[in-house]
Amino acid sequence: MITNTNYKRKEDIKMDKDLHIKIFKLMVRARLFEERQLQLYHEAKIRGYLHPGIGNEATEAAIITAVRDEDIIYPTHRGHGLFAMRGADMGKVLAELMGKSNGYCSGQAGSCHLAAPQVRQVQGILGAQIPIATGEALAIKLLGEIKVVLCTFGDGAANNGTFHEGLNMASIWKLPVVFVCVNNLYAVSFSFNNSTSVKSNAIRAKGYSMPGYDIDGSDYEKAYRTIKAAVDRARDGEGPTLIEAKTTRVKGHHPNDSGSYRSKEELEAVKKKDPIRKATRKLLRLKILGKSEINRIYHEVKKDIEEAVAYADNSPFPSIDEFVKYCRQTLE
Amino acid sequence: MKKINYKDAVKEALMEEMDKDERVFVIGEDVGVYGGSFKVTLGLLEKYGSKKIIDTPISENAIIGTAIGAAMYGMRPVAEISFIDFITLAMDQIVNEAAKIMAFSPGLYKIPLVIRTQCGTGRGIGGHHEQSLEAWFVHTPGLKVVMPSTPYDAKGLLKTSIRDNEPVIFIENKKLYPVEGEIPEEEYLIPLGKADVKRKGTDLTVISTSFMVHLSLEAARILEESGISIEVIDPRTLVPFDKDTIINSVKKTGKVLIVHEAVKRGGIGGEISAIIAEEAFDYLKGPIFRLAAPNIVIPSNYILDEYCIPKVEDIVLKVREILKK
Repeated sequence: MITNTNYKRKEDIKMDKDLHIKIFKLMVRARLFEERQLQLYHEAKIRGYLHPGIGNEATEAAIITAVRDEDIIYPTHRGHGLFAMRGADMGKVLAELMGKSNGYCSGQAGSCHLAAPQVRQVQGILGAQIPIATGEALAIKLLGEIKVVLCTFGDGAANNGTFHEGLNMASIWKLPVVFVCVNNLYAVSFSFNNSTSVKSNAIRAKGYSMPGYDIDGSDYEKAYRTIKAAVDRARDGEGPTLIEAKTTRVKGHHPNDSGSYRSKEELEAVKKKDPIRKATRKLLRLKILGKSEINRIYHEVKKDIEEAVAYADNSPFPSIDEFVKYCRQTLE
Repeated sequence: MKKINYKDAVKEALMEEMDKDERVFVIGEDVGVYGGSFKVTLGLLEKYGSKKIIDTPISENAIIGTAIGAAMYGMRPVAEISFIDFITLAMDQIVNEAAKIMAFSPGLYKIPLVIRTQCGTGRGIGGHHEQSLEAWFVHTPGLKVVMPSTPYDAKGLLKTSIRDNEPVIFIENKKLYPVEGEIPEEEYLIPLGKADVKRKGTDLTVISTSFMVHLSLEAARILEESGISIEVIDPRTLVPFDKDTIINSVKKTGKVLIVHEAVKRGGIGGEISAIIAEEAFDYLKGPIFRLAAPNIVIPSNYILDEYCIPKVEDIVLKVREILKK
């Protein structure tokens, strides 16, 4: 859906063979990383909250490859694939999720507030990141720098007031920010159809005088072309874009959610939209990758992940004394 | 030294910091052309331009949100919430984001953000424009809370707040803007966490904040005529809080009255009295008393406004009652 005809044509965005492979590798990395996290959760090694983002990999890999190193990415609470994909040390991410002192945030952020130098902090308050990301884009513009902020949020957060306030400001000030609504069709248990006044949040873009795109977020190529065009446009000083990437939530809201509110038929359909399955079939069909190469990719990623697990597992928990010392230094 | 009113003292602090550091900017509703609801920023748009003085839509949550984002990027925003009553709309960004982002991720971010706002009654404009809500922020770890009562304190503390690397809630008072005082010609800073003894005395310690400091000083002058000597202490910053100055005074007088403009129930008077009870109990010669606003919704009525906050006579009477003089 295009609500602004001045939009740089996404068909013009080039994708070479290497980029297809790069995106696929990132997707596999995120998928296996998250599946391993779930396993660690069920072993009670990761405790507290964990919200799997399995099913979002195509959109996430598109985001990572569409931005430049100097650009800024805001994550959501769902899934930590962006961290693994953008080169955050998986060992330090896992250590953080396990509450270890050598995690990226000294074990104080866990999953719900995870942050790393590569990706901004997860906010436990849904949609809170929208005005904050907008503010970074404002700072970039005020300083006359050329960088893009990519702000992700879910379909649930798009019904929060921060969405309205943030997008309006981004629009009036023509800020270099791209909003990507990763719509997995559920806000915990409340379905998108029942929770939202429009068929796609992309329609809402019109209300903020910015281009709006509704895309199949399980198709990495569509996601990449659309997000890249929006990022390029923002970098050119043309202002914000709102993209809704429809994905699937392959798992429950959190690891202990049985998903009883979803029908069998729906869950079957979800499997068909699994972005990794789709990407695998496509790359084999286009002969970009062969089966053995795919197996090798899985093998390598698994090796990396097991190293990360070992690192996190062998890491110490923070001492309460150290925590108290830190609190006294910074918060009193 | 020069004479200046509170409003211009705040403005001078903003100008000096903007002149000194190009990362400092002002953002909020009507801060530009209109000069702010109380004209604190009047003329700044012409002097500094629209990249430094940024008018915003009526979007309090996003005013603070964008200021947080800009601060994380390395700017030093001074965000204005024109009436503290409107801060409810930004509470999520203040309490859940500004106050917590640094703590959740030790060492990853700095949030050099100042939120300027103003509280207090005095114009008959009711409970959506006249509340005093400082206690909410004192109750939130991760925020600093500054509440200056004089032009000297306002300027020195605002400059320090702007240079601080953590979020600061800077609470002015609409009745204070015309209040005059002396400030040095040259630059000065006041550290956060230092109370100020506004008047020395021996019979009783009055701890008051914001506009109540001036009423307490007036009460002290009246009481002096009856030979009663009261010490008036202004904590100036509620977080960090200078316990020592207060406890040292209590050691001397043994009697305490706390005065604030916010409602009594859940107000910072309770917190201060608990600190004194815990840390200076042995020096007390009697109960700790509080004088504060009644626990009511402020009506939108100029005449009734007067009932809603302590007055000089109330302070005088309360002190006489405590001292039985």
